[in-house]
Amino acid sequence: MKRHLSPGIAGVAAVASLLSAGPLLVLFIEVPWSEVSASLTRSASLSALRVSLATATFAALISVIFGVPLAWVLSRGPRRLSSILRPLVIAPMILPPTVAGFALLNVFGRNGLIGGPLRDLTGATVPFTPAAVVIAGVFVSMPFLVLVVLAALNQLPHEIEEAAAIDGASATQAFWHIVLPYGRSAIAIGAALAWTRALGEFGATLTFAGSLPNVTRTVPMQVYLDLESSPSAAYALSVITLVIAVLVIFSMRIPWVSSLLRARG
Amino acid sequence: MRHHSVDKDGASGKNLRHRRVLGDALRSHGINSPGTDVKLAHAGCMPSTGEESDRHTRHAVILSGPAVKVTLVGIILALLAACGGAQEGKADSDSTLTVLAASSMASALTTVADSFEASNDGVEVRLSFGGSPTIASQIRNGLPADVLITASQDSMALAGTRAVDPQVFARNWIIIAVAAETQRSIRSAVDLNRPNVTWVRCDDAVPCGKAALQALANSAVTATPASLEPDVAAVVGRLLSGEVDAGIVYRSSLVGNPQLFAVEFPEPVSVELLYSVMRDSEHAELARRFVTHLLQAGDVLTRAGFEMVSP
Repeated sequence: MKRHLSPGIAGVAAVASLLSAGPLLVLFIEVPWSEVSASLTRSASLSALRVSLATATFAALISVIFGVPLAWVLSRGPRRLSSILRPLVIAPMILPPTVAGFALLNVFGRNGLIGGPLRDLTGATVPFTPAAVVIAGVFVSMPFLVLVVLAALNQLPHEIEEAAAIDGASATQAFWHIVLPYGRSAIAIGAALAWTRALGEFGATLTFAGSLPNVTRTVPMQVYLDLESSPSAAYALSVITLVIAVLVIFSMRIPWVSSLLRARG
Repeated sequence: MRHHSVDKDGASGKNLRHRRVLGDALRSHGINSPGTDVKLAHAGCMPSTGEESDRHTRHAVILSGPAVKVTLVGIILALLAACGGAQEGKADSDSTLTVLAASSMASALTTVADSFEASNDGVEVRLSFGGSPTIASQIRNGLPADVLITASQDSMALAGTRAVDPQVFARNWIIIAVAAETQRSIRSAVDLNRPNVTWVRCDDAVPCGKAALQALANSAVTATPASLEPDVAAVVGRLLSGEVDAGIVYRSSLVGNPQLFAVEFPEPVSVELLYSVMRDSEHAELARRFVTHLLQAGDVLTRAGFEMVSP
């Protein structure tokens, strides 16, 4: 059967895709390619890339370690608990990043709820350290993983875990042998989303972790500063992030990756 | 494999249920009325061959029902109003001046703009503050504005040819600001070298960072700051939030912040503030009057920590 497309709706969709993809395509066209390789090997760009890749990877790992059990509790725990908890743990995703950073300062800042006693006891402070970049990354990106994994776990019929329980499996065993294998693809997709979100984090990082080259200065902060002082470096870093984002999205469609991601029965 | 296919069926069943519920809801609002269908066919929104499946018809009805139409029209009207508003603002902006200024000027310039508005009936001054390179780049990229005030020649140059004949009119001195509770432990610049002192300054890209770099080098400070902030306002923010013991700021940054104290550098370093009336200003005359007013408001600027420079 031939598909019908209403011209009006298609027009609106065209505007939508122009708004999303247009600026990215223009960015690609405008890149001064001859200068890009030179500005990429610049130490400021390289160190920003290193800081970003390392902290985002840590943030994604921590998001998986803590986010998957959280998603499981939200999916299988008491309904009232999850109806209260769910909006709270997802909120950082839609919070303005600067507000997120401010909230983090109130907890981990050197006068914060945890940061204050920590400083008194050990003399250590969290802000202005790579750990602060990772914390900011986890705070804003874990909700992506939780949402994706939660959606998958909600599709897993309770009967399977019940059957396992009848056969003598403990809840912990069910988590390791049923929930985890079943949610594998969702966990991978959620981790990829969390990783890219952490990679792009700007506001919370700047507010909470500051911006020092080689320590806390990430790619988005470097791009922001380069916009005025060295536009070709800003182009170079922008293109890299764009390529990374596109690669992450497309890698999920490469046959061997998607077959790896697909849950086995 | 088994439970995978089970849940797939479950999901699509859920979707179907959803769609049915949606359809019922729309029908109960009278969206599926025959009148609508006739109108739609006339408007060419829906194929009238009658060959489509039930699902297709429902889709067409859902997407072009009166409620949706009203919403769409509303959105379009709102967009038009927004565009129209912007154009209107431009058209009758005979009396609206747009001034972009370095963030260190924020409080002083707000006072100056208020008194300018008070003495010029119907005139409105729109102020926008930011790091000097940022606002200068905005000018270069075509942001409509009448006056640009930066904290260095270099950043004024970033504005390109729109910024004509920039003039130095004031100086701002670089100092170390310390919070009340750390006032005792930081008495001179070299105290920043102590390992337990957390301090920040502006990034090298902005005037306050360049000047800070020079002042620190002059006074043999070799310690690394905890962070390089995008503008001076961010450094003040760090101090006020209590996250740092000291920050390199301008003397003007202390005005209005009684909880901060100044420690002077042994060899004073300052930045120059420059103004320029934009070449393409639509109210160049009014803009020049604003600049004259600014230059005559020496006492306001002096009180705000600046030092006036006579032309």
